Amino acid sequence: MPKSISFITPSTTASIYVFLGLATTTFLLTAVKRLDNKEISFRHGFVSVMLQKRIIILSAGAVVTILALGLIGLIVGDYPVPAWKAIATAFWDKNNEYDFVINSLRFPRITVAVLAGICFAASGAIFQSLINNPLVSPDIIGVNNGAAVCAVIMLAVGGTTTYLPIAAFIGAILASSLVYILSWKRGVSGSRLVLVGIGINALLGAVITFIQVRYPIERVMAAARWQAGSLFGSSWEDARTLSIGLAILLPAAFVLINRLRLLQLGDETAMALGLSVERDRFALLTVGASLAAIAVAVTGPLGFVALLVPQVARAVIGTLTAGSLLFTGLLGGVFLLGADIISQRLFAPVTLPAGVVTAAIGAPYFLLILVRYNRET
Amino acid sequence: MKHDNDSPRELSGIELRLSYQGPPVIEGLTIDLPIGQITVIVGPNGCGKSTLLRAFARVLTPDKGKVILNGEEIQNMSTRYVARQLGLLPQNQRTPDSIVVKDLIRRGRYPHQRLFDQWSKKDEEAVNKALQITGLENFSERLVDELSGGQRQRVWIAMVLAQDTPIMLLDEPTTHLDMAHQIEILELLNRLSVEEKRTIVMVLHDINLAARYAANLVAMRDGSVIYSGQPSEIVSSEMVESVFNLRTVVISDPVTGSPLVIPKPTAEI
Amino acid sequence: MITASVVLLAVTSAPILAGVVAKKRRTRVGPIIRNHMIGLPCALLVMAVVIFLSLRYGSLQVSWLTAWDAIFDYDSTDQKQIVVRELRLPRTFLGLAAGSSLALAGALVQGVTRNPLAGPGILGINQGAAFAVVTAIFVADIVSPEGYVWFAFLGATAAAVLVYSVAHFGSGGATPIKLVLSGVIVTALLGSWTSALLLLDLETLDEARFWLAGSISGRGTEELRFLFPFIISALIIGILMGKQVNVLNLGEDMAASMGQRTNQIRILTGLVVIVLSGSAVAIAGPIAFIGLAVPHMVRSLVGPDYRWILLYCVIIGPCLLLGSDIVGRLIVRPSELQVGIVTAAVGAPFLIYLVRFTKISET
Repeated sequence: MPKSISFITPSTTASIYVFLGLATTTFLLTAVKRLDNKEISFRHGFVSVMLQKRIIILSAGAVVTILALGLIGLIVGDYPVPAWKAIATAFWDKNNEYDFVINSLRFPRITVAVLAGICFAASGAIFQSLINNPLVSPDIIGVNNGAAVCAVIMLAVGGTTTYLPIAAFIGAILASSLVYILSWKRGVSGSRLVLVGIGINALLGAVITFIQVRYPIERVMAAARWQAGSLFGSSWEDARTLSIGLAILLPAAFVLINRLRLLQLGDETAMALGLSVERDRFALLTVGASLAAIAVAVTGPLGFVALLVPQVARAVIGTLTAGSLLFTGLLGGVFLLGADIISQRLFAPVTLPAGVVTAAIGAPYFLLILVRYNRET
Repeated sequence: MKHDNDSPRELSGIELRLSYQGPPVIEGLTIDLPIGQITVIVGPNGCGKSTLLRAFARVLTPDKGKVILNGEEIQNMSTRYVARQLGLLPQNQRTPDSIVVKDLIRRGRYPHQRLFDQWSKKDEEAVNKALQITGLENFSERLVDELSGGQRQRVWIAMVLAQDTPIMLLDEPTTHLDMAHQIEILELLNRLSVEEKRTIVMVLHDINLAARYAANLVAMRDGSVIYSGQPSEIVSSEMVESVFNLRTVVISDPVTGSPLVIPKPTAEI
Repeated sequence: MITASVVLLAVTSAPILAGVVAKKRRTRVGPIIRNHMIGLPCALLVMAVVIFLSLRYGSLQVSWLTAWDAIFDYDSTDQKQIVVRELRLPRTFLGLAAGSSLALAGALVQGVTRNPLAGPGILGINQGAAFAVVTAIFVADIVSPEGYVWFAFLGATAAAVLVYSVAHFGSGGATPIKLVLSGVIVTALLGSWTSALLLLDLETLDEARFWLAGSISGRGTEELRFLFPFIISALIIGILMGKQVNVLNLGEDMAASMGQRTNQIRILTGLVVIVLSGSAVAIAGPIAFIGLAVPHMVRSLVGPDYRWILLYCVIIGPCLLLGSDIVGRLIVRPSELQVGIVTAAVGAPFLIYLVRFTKISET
């Protein structure tokens, strides 16, 4: 019997808010381009650094947006919570009626969304700068499929979800290591890495498909759900994992960013400027893959964020610097949080996995931004 | 332990064998590059001049033999230290997308920077000076992609200048440059050599410019040095014919007095 | 089973051995197959062997003689011959058609976009077909493979047209980079809609997962018969475009200065790719690996000249696809493993080997 798809129509109010939100963000992003990009030198003691005005404003704006979206995320839902009460419950008043909804459901989910978004976007930025190809995302080194194989095996074959994040993380790291080792031949060149990545991804994909056709449909559905990427059921445990990961990896990324800037100039120039090219490239790949691996382990593959957020950030900012990496990460947080909220409310009461929404709404949205930027330059 | 301000006293290659994972391009070459002077390497295509330069820049590891800087093998020194002593302008440069002129030049300061010391006064001065010397002050915020070939070349030269090294190795720095800018850059390098006692080693394809600016001219063919010495002493029509396979007449440049090579027509018309 | 494995092993390891021998002799650096007077017939021979193996092997045991007779001396009362002629022969044709279409389409896409990560999938073709098919299952409960074919083809074409139009928007027409980005976006969009439908309904997922795995069994010959003239013409046109792709590969400015009408060439290539991969996905379901990896494999064997790359892709693509199908039939006998799975499992190690042991150029 044919099914009607009428129940997947978006609610009108939600659609209007979404549209307004997207329109405002687009406008703001394009308006920033007209701001002058003054450099500010900050020197004090042994610290000296160059800051760009545009990046400071953008990053601040991103933080504000995250806070605003966070507030919205606390408020809206099947059980609407008044704004002031929401903030109170989240931070100090733990003993009221909203405690469960806020502190066990929404607040952790918001935090995980932001942190995972930062991980994905930063990872994507590193990979896209390392390998000059717009199709590049951490996916190429096998992170997504590696995690997926372990997760799918666990869900479809074992039918259990304990230790799933750990298994996924290990799978992601193993797959990336395999790709790296197989592309090593007196060093790792970008093109070899890409091609070996294609091979390993295909291999892992075949395993996943194999499981999908050979196991009972209920288990396969569970695996398919995981593969779509979702923030459903995010816990404080997940948030803790992501925080620890970011606390280690993000500073590492900032330390390595200057080496990445040199690698962009070509291996020879980088060597002449004092880089140990293979060692630094390895370090950057490790940091990039680990960022993606942690995020995938917690949320499932939300690779779209890693692919397109850095492109948008680059269209707005331009060159890679520590500041632009920070902004890219924050933009990823904004995006994933926004997508998650939309995925919960747009088709209420039906909820879709965040992975589906990120692509469905993100895709035309990014397209709009890229088109506007192409027109302006 | 090396001191940062250890000025170079000796730069030479001993029994060098260089290859690109195949038959050797250079075999058993020993060469001494005089400090504080301009050395220009010339030769026909494929003679190994870029290869030699890369070995000195430590970008290419010799299969056999060693490159010596101040009595020590360059391979044993820390990459960072070497980067403060030797600057390289490679022949093929990879310019990343959407990079601004000033940013590219700034990256040349990397060997002098520390983790928290990213934009010291010295860095800023070096970058500004490099912009000024190469005449790119008005271009500092422009995208490198949008510049002409010659302007882009000047940006890369500015980056090497910002690196501020006592030894500069430049592979075909005059590519894409119009005549005025060619002379400008070569005059600049001359000044750096004379006034600041920098050691400059460059590969040029124009033998007349080479003869004009080189204090020490090295002519290579098929991986070996055929001639080496002052241009006025070694440049002759016999030399040009044996190195380049070209029949020429060599006269004295009316302006500078250096040898001027004038090719003879290759076929009777 | 043993003979089959031995032959397959020989077939796949022959190029490897050739590579090793070439390296040992330290001949000039360059493509392994340089003499096409020898190379082409060898490739065709490999293809003939694979075709014959495809007729011979399957879940039903059949002798060499029976297979031969089924084609050349048909006896319609012999049940085994019926199996060969009615089931395996069409299946083999499907494999040939799909294999050459996908490989050629992939090579063309990589040549035009100058991007090694590109395959026919990036033009949204596979995703468009998948979305159309999944929607058909979800909304109209269509469950027969014949029913899928037309939806797949329509979806593929619509997606490709969408990708192309989006890329055309703005200045410069559909430049490689805009095509790639546009493809990424449309692919992601369609992929997410498809996922949404699959996740919302268990039965849809149950039905669709087999089609999504890619298979050349269980298809009638009707669709292939209809699509056949299109596929053949597209293959021929595609192969003949080798010279143009070479020029296009030099870069925009070079190509324009050599008098090439880059926009028109790109549109023509796009049409060929759409017809080829649209047909392939319609008859076999989405098989991503062939279009992506076979061009790279071929390039490492014959070098960067697209005139040869395109020609060899048409021959080697089906070898990989059919070879994988044969393995899929044998490995879990009497059941079968979908060809999409085996192709990646067989092809990936081979690709990785080539990457490590040959000088592989990026585009």
